[in-house]
Amino acid sequence: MKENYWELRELVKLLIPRSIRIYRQSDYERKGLVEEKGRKRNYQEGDLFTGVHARHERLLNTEEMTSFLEVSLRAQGCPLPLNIDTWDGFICPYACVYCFANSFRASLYTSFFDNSRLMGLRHCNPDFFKRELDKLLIGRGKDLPNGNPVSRAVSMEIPMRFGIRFEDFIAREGKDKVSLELLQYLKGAAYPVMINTKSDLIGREDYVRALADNAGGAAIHMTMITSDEGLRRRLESGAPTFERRIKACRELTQAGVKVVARIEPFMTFVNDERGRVDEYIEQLRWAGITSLTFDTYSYSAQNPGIEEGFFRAGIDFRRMFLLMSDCQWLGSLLLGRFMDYFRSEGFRCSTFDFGNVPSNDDDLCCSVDAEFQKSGYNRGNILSAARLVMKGDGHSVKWGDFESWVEEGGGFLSNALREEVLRLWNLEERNAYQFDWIPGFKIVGVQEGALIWRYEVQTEDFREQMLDFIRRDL
Amino acid sequence: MKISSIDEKRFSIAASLHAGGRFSNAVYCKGKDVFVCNTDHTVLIHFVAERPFDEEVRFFANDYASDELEMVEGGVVFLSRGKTSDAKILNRIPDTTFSEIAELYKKYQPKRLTNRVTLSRALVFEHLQEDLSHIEFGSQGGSFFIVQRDLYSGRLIKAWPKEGRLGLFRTEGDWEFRGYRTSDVKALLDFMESLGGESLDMYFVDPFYSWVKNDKLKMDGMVTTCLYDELGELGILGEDQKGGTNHGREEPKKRWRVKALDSTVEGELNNDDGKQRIIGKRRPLLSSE
Repeated sequence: MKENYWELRELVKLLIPRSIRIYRQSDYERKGLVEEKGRKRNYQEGDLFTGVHARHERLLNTEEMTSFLEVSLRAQGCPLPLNIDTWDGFICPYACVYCFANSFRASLYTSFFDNSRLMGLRHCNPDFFKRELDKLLIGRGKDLPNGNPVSRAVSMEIPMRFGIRFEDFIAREGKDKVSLELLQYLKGAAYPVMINTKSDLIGREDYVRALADNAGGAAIHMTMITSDEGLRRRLESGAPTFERRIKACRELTQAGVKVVARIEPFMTFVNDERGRVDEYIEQLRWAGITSLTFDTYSYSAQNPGIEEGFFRAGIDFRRMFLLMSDCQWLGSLLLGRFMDYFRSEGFRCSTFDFGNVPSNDDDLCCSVDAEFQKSGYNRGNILSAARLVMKGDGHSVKWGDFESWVEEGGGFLSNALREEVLRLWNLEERNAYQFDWIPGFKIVGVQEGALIWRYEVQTEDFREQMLDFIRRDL
Repeated sequence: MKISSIDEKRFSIAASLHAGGRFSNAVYCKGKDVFVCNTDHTVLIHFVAERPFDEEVRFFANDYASDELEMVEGGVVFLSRGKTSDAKILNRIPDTTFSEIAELYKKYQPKRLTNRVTLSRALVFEHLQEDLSHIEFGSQGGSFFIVQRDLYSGRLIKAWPKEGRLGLFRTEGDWEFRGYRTSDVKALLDFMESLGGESLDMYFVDPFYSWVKNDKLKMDGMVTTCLYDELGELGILGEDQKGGTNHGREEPKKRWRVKALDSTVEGELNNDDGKQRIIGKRRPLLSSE
């Protein structure tokens, strides 16, 4: 009999004790927590024609953004990779300690632009995005085998997904209504929409209507990693309170909009205190939420500035990171049991964590099968490939079988993406998004340079084996 | 007009550098002179043509399509011969004329070639990275140094030629470090190597630009410098002149002066605090200058 999450948590306490740091990294005090690449200061180039050194600056448009729609760089593992964002900024006002997007943007902007530090918040011009979308939507429902990945994604009616690169429902949005205008545009076009947010603005009547009345479908991922307001203040100091977010969720579900609660990052010993989890569950029920999506801590967030942020919040980053990222099998095992606890309370749960893909209640790891599985999604990704292999019901599945299934759903978004997925299928990449992370996945052969896979439900879970091995020495 | 095979090779190199995205440039020809000037106006290369051009020819390097070309009203036409068909391709031409470029070349031609160093790709890039934006060349304690800095990682590389290798150095006193775009230096070396050369003489004649030359290839030209606050800041490596020796020479006077069309900028290197900084001021040129 496997132990439940709370029993496993007690065991893990013994395996990985708290670590204590007795010094502060003063370097980060001085430089700030955000990693900046920097450009040469007061840069000038000699011009033979004028005979003088002239100032050369590459300036970012600090008032307006034009790059608002893209296919995610992670589309090889994502069924819903069509990202749309209306807002951007150098620093996100929500200031979440665990988020590495600020650091990513800072290194990107400071390495390419001389004025990035002058940028506050900027947004897309509604006239511009409407013009661009008008052109793209012409291809909707059409077969565009040679189109670019964005055109192809739109042709397949893959939902446009807000909030991947930046929070699109910040307080200023409430006045400027840029995201609202885009939601209303998409409602008019009956084009499916998905939103990742931490904002309660989404529960305001005008936003609710723009979503609920969208005949193409709409779903919200409301990130709420804890109902503990003290912890929330330490980890997400600029974001709306849990209370405001859960009220917004209730408004949305009462209007018929699907809301999925998102616990990402799930961090053992940080946001998993049992009393708080039970309280959280009660609040979800009150808000009419029936599904959750989870993930462990991202390996990409191993960043000294983020570690310092955790330290300042009084949280043992190293213990958490070791558990949830570095020691992936254990993080995955903990997450699986944590999800089981929510399942025992009647919730549907899914995750992008490959160790738990077999137990996902939805094929789409965002827990939105009912909303989007029929409208259209990117079948050509490794997670969907895993779900297809599982449906082989103990029979072997070849790459060709997967390819045919992808073609039925509209094909790969690009040839490059197809190649990336094939590399993952063949275990050619060393990352955590491959089949060898999934318990029960077996290689049963090779055909035309591609591995043949089979899913065996009864197989021993390698994560359990690892745990048993360690437990013997306790 | 049909152009010679050697000149065609030069144009092809210019075109391939352009296509590489790091050196977009235009070609200007007339009589025995061929110029290649990049669109940022930081590099001007001059060749002696193998076969003289009777009329002025100019085009953007990436338009170069064949050795048969013809200037027409406001454009240049390349005759492209294929396996199954032939084609004429009309392209726009640069606004700058051959005579303007030739005038520029003349204007910067140094009266005296001083401070020579012989560069090769191996010498410059053995320790340096081609994808970092700038390279600094300088002379300290009678020795020649190449410096590259990675602002992101804080990495600083200071390299120098080994005795008896390429990188022969003949200087008339030290000069402060001068910054160059890596892509410009690389383009010059690519040109030289693609034409069969082994090295390129670089003369640090002026803080605004350097002269380059390879007599065997009948090639010369110039590349301008860049200024930025970090230029010449060498930290602890600034004191380390080839393992700490300055070869018994007296510390040179560290002053600099940039002459330009409309002004002169001058200043001094302040290294009181162990760091080198350029402190300069600009003043208009006097008419007598």
